[in-house]
Amino acid sequence: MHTAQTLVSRMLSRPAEQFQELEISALCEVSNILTGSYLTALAMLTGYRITASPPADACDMLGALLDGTLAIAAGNSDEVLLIESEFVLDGGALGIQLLFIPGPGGLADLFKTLGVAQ
Amino acid sequence: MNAEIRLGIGDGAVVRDPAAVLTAPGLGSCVAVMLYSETPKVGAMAHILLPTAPTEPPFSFKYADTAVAMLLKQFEKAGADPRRAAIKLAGGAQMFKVAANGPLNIGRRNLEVISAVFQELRLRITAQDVGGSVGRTVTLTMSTGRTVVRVAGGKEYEI
Repeated sequence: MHTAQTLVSRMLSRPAEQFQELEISALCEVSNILTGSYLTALAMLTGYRITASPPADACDMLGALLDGTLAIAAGNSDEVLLIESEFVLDGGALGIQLLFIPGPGGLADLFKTLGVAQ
Repeated sequence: MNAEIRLGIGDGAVVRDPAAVLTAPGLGSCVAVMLYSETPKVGAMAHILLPTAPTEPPFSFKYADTAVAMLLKQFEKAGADPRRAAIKLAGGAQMFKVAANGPLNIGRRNLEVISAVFQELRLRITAQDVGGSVGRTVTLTMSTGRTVVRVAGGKEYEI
């Protein structure tokens, strides 16, 4: 939450203690841009066409936020891939984590393309 | 001293230890199914991820359609009678605002399947705290039979 406040207050050039519509929208926009460049890089690396759906926001327990996404991605498999990334602002690490969770079958395809034996 | 048993996604447990506390942490669209019998003292919990199991085994506590049957079977094996037990549900939320009726609303589909299984067996769900768009951590305390839901921000209540 602290990272979100820092980031948004910087974007809006004013304190962002309480998150209203504008603050949430700003945060979604950052994540959209970050995710967009991340996916573009991954697409170039793998040769896949990767498209992103519109951003959605939620503020809650980590496990609760992830389980629905994992359910959709994992399907009947027990494996998911999390690519963890670090973001830096003005030389200091930002507490942002980008978790990349490929959909059903996506993991095998990705590993094949990257030449990683599974 | 209470013995905490944490149940991750796809885990299930049936216990007779009166000092045990069963916890399903961070439920989003996942659903915790809880059974509790006072005499004999038996408690059960499953942390369910998806509504339906694949056609091929192994089946597990991960899937609503197989988890409830598995849990009931073990509960009975431990000496408890499901017809006299408290049956409670927690979870099944939709954390992100996507189409509420779409296939991505896993929480709701989980709840539908679980309710259907209990209804078919003519077992009444005695209490539930489900749906909405809020994450939940739920605990079942064996010594008292109390089930408590905790949400982000520290608020908690009994169901």
